[in-house]
Amino acid sequence: MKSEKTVVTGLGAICAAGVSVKEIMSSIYSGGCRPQAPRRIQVDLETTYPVFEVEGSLEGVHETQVDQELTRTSRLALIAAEEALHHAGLDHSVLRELRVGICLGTTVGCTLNAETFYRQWRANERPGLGPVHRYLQNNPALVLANLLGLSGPVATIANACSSGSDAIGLAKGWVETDQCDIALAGGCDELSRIPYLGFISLLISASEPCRPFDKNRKGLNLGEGAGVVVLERESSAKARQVMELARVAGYGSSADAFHPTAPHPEGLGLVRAIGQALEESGLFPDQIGLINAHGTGTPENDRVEGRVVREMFAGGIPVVATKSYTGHTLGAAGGLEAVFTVQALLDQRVPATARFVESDPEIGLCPTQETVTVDTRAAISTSLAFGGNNSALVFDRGLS
Amino acid sequence: MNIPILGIGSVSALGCGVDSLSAALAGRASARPDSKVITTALGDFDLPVYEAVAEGLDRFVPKRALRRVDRFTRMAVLASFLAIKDAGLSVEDSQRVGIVFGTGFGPLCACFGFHDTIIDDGDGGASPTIFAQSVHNSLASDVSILLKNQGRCVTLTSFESTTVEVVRTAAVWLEQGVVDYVMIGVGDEYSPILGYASATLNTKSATKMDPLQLDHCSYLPGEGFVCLLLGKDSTPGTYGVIEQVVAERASDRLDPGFIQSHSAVFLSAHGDSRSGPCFEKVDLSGVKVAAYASLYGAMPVALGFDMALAAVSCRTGRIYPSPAKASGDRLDLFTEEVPLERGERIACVDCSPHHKAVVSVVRT
Repeated sequence: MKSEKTVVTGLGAICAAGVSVKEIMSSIYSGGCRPQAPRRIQVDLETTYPVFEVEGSLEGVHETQVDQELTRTSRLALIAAEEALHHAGLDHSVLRELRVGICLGTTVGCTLNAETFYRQWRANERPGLGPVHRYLQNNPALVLANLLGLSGPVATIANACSSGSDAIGLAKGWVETDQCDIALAGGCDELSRIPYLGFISLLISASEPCRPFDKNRKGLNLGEGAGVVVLERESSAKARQVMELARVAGYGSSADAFHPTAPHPEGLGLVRAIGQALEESGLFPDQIGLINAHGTGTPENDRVEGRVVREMFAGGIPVVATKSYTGHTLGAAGGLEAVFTVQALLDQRVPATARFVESDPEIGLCPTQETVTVDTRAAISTSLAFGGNNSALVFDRGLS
Repeated sequence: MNIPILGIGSVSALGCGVDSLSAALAGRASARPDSKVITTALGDFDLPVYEAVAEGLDRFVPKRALRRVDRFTRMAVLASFLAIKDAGLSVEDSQRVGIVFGTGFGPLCACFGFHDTIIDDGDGGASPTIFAQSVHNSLASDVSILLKNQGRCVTLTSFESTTVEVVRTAAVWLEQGVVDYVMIGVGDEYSPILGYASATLNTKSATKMDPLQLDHCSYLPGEGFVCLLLGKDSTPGTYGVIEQVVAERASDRLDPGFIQSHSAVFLSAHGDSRSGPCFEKVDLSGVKVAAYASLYGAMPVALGFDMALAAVSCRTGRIYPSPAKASGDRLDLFTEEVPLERGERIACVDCSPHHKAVVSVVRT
């Protein structure tokens, strides 16, 4: 199917490294932001597993008037969405005139994690349904569509750690098949005790700051945040006289069909996803000049992903794992990393992968160790997820 | 959009397979909700629950492969295999089949099962197996593993808005040409917490579903999973085609005459007093209506089950009487079986405080 290209015209992000794209990029180009012991999560464990936490309650950070109780995940999403809309020159009056869809990935935001309520229910204390109401009112895409008055498709994607990338890929499809004029897409997730304990139980959380692709990596650090992009057709951006930041040139997604929690040992699903995204973009691997890897810092993910990247792309392409600045933000990760990838393309700079020291001979890949300048038109962002889902997004600035 | 429905797999309180839906529509079978005693702050209530009957999975999958597969996932896996069997399809290229699943609430039993491990065994005793099952996309990924399907695989979750976006996603993938077939599936499972919330919020003393008493609470939880195997427009379909998907904000009005261009309207009202009144804002003048949720139970993904029932009607060429009765004469109900001619369309309509959705299914 031939259709008009989808372009990115707005970026918005919030994570532990900052509360705007500008602040975050400044922080990661300068190598800042380290994980700390969790402040909002209380656990009874002998070991501390550090996290990348956004400071503050977030109340009042967003401009949109809200007359309902928002979860932290919804607030993160709203803050990132507002920044992206401002960036794209879209105010509320314009939003209400166009068919604007919203597609957000999440994991925590769609799950009824209500531990206190559940403990009370188990103890036959007949608790009130406040947490259930809060859950019903805070499905991320639904709540933002309602708050922003959007009239296009509304979808919350729950594809585990690739949710954000898949949300952008799906929204790209909406734009290209004329389901809407404009789409907000990305991901959002708050830190929560439940997945915090879940990842520890899986033995893939690190008790030290994560070190993606390093020989001595010990696992991931969880994080929280939201990353949102504004997508529209090229003709729409031209008509609105807004800057095309990059084209979403390709999206690929493929299931490993292998294991519920482990990636395929040869990364076959990831190879297919990258291959599909490149094919759709019309670009060759040697035209990609920047790779934002999923790079969680877990032994298994980085081994599989690193090998695939090494084998599919020529040596020397800068590879960065920005989770070393944000932590693994789960459903938000693909959205945040898409934002960083586009901004890095615009800046023609690739940040260092924090704390990477020693190459793992099993991988044979050295990610960036300092911020480097590049001269490239295209970049790729990859995501791997529980359940064996793999996704890749290619962004292209074009030759000019 | 012309998307043929090639096969249906259903797991619900009615039993398994498309024949269980046909039999219920024709009045030859019915669900037997199981009564649960739910203790709430207002007292104890008997809550009839439409529990799914998921039997026969070992015909498709070795028992060994199902050791760690939970009940909700078994429903999804069984519905998927039944849909493929129903379609008589042999898929040669596993990379050209997409999976789009949707769920209103997600795997609630695994979610609270994981809570149980923390409460019972402490923060250090959390179960990794149950944690993995508690992730929303665990159903779709388990199906992709068991079907050895390497195509696109995505899970959506937005309460009542889920089903229409599942269909839209499949339509987009087919139009983009990135897949040849899509297995769409939606479902939900019963959990005691859902029972507690239902009894506290909605039903109180309701003992049967009255989905067309739109401002009345009669939410009796259902559970199950229904899959529809969809193909490209050139593929001959057994069950008619999905011709159109419309989703609007709750406050928006559907185009005048749109609903009236259909020969039948299936309302996915399911006894929820929160969404029930939203159906009253749809112009149903001049069309005949049915509501079937009392056959399978209340679920946010009721639209998916109604789409399957519409597809069955397309296959048999019959519209079946509405088991739900309406008060007054505002709705013109199907009270007896009537023919559905080729080219005639059924509108499956769902409403909630968030949205209004219509999926049009045409008999070909």
